[in-house]
Amino acid sequence: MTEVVLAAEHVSKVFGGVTALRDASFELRRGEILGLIGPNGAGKTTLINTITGVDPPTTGRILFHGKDLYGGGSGESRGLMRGVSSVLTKTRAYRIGQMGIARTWQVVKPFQNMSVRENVTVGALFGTGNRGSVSAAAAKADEVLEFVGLSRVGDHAADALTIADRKRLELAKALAMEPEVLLLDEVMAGLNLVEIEGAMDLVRRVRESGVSVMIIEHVMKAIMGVSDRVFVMDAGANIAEGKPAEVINNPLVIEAYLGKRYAQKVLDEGIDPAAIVGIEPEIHA
Amino acid sequence: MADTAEPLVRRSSEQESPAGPGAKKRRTTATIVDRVLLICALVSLPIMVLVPLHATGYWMNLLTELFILSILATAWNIIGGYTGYAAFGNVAFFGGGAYVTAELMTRGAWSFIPAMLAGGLAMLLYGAIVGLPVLRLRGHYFAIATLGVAIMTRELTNNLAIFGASQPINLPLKNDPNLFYYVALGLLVVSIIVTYLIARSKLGFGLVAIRENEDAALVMGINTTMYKVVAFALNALLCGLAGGLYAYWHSTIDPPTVFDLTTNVRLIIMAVLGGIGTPLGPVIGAALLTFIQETLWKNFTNLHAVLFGAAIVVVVLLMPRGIVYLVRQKFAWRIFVRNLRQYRV
Repeated sequence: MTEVVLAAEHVSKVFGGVTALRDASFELRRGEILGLIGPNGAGKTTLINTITGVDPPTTGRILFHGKDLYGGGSGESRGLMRGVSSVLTKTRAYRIGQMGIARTWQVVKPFQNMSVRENVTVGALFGTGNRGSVSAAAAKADEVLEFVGLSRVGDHAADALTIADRKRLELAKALAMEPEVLLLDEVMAGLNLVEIEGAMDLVRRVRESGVSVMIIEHVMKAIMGVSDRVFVMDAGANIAEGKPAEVINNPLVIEAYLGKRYAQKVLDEGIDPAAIVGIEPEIHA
Repeated sequence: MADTAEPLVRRSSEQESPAGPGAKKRRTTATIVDRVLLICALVSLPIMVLVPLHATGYWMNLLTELFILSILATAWNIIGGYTGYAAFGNVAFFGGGAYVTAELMTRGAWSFIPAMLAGGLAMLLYGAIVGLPVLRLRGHYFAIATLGVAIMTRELTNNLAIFGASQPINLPLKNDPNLFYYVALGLLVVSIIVTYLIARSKLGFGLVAIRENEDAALVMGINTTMYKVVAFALNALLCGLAGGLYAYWHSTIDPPTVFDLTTNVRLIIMAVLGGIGTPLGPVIGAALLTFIQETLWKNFTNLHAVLFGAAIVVVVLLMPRGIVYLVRQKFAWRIFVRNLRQYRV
């Protein structure tokens, strides 16, 4: 079995009285594309936030190459010590990006008053490459823009892009960091069918370049087509894992998406679950 | 079929770039305007150097004050313009620099330039220490906290015996307008060069990324805390140097003058008027604002404060992004006209 690059072990995240993640675990292996699906509110984005240090986990461990990103320093301590440790972990968040974990944001966060090329240059300047000179970073940025197909709008202001290009810019910013692990948070939402095909192709090419990818997506057709394995979450916990075809026929998964009553109906009447789950993106949009 | 498919694809890729060729052109205009501004600055520098040969006392005073205000506006631009943290307490560093310089020159009998540099370095340190906790706040909270820092610093100087306990400090008298003029001009040139260097460096990219989206910047591997503190401390250094110069130039300083909170407001208005986040914007803003102020003062002595306030309101309503943006964006005049209509002027 290939090496595990990134893993979460029994991760929980509590916001006040809301438990967004309860005991979630997964393993991402080198060079694979791992799909992450689940109904809205399942905790998919929260999981990415705990990995990238935006919201460090309340309990549990995030392992990158077997090393705990938070050194066990978060969570259980209380009062003043908890405040101190949260300050320290928050300060450390930038190191996670420098270590080689890059992400995109579901709600895109372009640097609006910078050009597209400058946006990507930021990724190349910092990230794992951590270049000292702006011109070297700009050269890398041009390479990445070419790779994702944004060269033609390199000089445009980032806020002048279409949705499809904004999603691509998110990807380009993350790729310019030259990461080992790429966490994609709904890069295909809001795209049309042709654009989705393009994005799927892009994700495959990213994997071929040696990056391990975890991808959150509501577009079932895309995630089933592109993932090696799929991992399903519901209400903050993982409920199933396996090859795309296995997962989609899992009664627990069907139930999570459709509720108990309809899930029973589907199973009784022998309707193809893929067709039903495939409707979901339009509902989501 | 293949013939029809080809242009279809191309058209869709054209639709994907709504900014189109216009945006490309706009950026080129921006570059040209930036070049023109830079050339203007380079041409005016020798003129400024020659001014003392012909100028009267009034002009020497006015220009020296303008240079000091420009340094302050340029300093604020680093933290407020590039990093997007609206600091309202820069007088803390201006006054602090003035006091450190004054103390060193009176009690320590230091000469002027080393005392001024020491004042600046002390403020660099003070800015870093104050910045660490204060820069954790964002938006309005940061502005209020920095205002608190300014008031706290003023009250400390007001009450501590080593700073004269609210009594004015008299520095050695020096009647040499040329010295102050050239030191002020030199400091201004240095602060503009610093800004240019920052804007083109890794530091500048990091700061602008923080301004545009701090969470995204953090996740991309930018040590946001360190970058913000560096920007804040550089800003404090320049303010401290300007304060040291001001102290020797005025030869008498007391807390109400050097910690005057309205100075904060004035220099932020200068930066905003000229164009924040551009190297030369704050200087242009400072010059324009001083010109407006002097004209109003001469012609409407009783009403000048009211008219000055009104002028600021009009400027902020009609061109919130400053003069530099107005001239460098191709269609910016449309935004100007739209604002005119919107406010029914």
